[in-house]
Amino acid sequence: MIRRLAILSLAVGLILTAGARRAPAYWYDGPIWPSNPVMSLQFGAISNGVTLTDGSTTWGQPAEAAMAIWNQYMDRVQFRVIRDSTASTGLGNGVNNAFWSSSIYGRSWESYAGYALWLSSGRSITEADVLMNEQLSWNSYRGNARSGVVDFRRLVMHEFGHVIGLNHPNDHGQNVAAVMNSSPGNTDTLTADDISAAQFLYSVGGSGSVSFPARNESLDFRTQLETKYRDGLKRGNSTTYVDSEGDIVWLSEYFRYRVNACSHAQAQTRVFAQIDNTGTFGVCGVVSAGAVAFPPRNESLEFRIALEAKYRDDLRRGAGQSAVDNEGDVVWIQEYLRYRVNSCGHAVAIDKVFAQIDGRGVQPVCG
Amino acid sequence: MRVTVALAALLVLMLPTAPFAQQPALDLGTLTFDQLTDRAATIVVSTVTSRRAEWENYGASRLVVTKVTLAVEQTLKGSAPRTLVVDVLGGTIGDQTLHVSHVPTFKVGDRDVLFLNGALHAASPIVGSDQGRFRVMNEVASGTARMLDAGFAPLVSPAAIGTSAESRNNALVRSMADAISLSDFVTLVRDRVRLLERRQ
Repeated sequence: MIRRLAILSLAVGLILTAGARRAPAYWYDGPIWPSNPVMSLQFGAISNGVTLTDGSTTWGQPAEAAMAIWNQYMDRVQFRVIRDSTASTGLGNGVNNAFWSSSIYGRSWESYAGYALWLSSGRSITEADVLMNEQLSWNSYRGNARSGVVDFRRLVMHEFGHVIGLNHPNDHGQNVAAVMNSSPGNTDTLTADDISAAQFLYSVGGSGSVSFPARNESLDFRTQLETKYRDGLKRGNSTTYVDSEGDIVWLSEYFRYRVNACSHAQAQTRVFAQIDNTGTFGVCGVVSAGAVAFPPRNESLEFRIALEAKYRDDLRRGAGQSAVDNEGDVVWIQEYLRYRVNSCGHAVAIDKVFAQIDGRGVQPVCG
Repeated sequence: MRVTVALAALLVLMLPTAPFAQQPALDLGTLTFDQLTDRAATIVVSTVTSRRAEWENYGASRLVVTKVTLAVEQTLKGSAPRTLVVDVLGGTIGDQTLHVSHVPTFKVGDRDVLFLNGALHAASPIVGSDQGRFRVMNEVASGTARMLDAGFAPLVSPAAIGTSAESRNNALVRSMADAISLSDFVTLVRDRVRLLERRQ
């Protein structure tokens, strides 16, 4: 569910520098707003007229503050608000309702404090509702999450992120600090990754392309990865029919298609056609503005396994040896490319990947 | 005295947090393996064989609900027929798609261990909305079925379920071979279920 825009001038064939888009860890479903989303705020007054911890005197204030924070990073659309709306609530009514609810349109809550439901037609979001669980104890405060008291602003900020088309990076194989993670936890405002997502989808400047690295650099990375596994991790060899160059070239092509709106099947078909020299394809989507996300690990791995079979059964290549197993191959090449399309140079990207391999966690991107 | 003052201060702080009647708290954080197991009405190992999206009317709302058909391989808790159909809020009909945050999507061929909540009319059939879903994939080298989390990171141990993003980061450096096998995961679930039954 997720990707966006960008047009790359694909000079195609084997990539020397095919364009792609900035691809941090954020994740998006695809459709975006063609015009300003107007939210009808219907949270009502605070019971007993008390003041929330952050000084808000209405629930609408933190909700508007959350929208204002998103608006700072979007050019082409802006959240607009109807305060104290009395519109009827419902999905499919053309109104973007934001309100307290005891159910999700008749279906029971399960664990989360808020849900966003958004309708799309083609590539456009047409309506989005935000429902906050009225059964919980709420306040509005900054800082770490407090036990038993849910911070309204960060949660509604999260739900408004869904409204603009974002999804949870951590549910899609990404590891990053983000208010858009499925549980924002102690993150009380937008992080660099959330901001990148908003800019990518909705900023004029968000459509600038970023090049995939030149082939020689990718191949150099793959060579160093082999050494790292063999000498650093002391991994034994396993049999492979795909040589290092084929490995990096075709995986890079696969990822290039994927980050440009191709499905797994579309990307694999295109890469195999290139291998068979039966066709050269453009990317699958030219979206109006948007983000790029790398595919989930299982799909990348499926492609790598299929590539192995392609080399063995169709191309009749002989067996070779590699210390890098398929999973490591897919994961680390993907990470290397992610750093590269996020403004890291070749050497820096390698350092960051190797830091991850050494157990030092995901490194920040450079852009 | 100091404790009393602190408690009073805490109460004052809490006052604005009660705009609504207090209800039994839902778990808003991530659920642990034990919590998922204990809360599940049914736990199955299954593969998605089909899905069908339908319109559903609720008051003035028109929702899309996807009926997901599962071929059940094993039932680890509760009882389940060999073919099970679960409702998931959201889905696509024609070019209309209803996206719902925190609700998982299924595609044909997905093989999972599912912790089902047994609710008749929930947004998600999964415990924790999307947390009680674990992917099953075969390791390339050995063909062993192994467990991955929702983000397809290898699940090294059930102890990692419900842990911090930092732990998840560390999981990224794991290889598929480090992931717990499906058979071991099943054993751990069954052990937990037996423990729960003894307590009851």
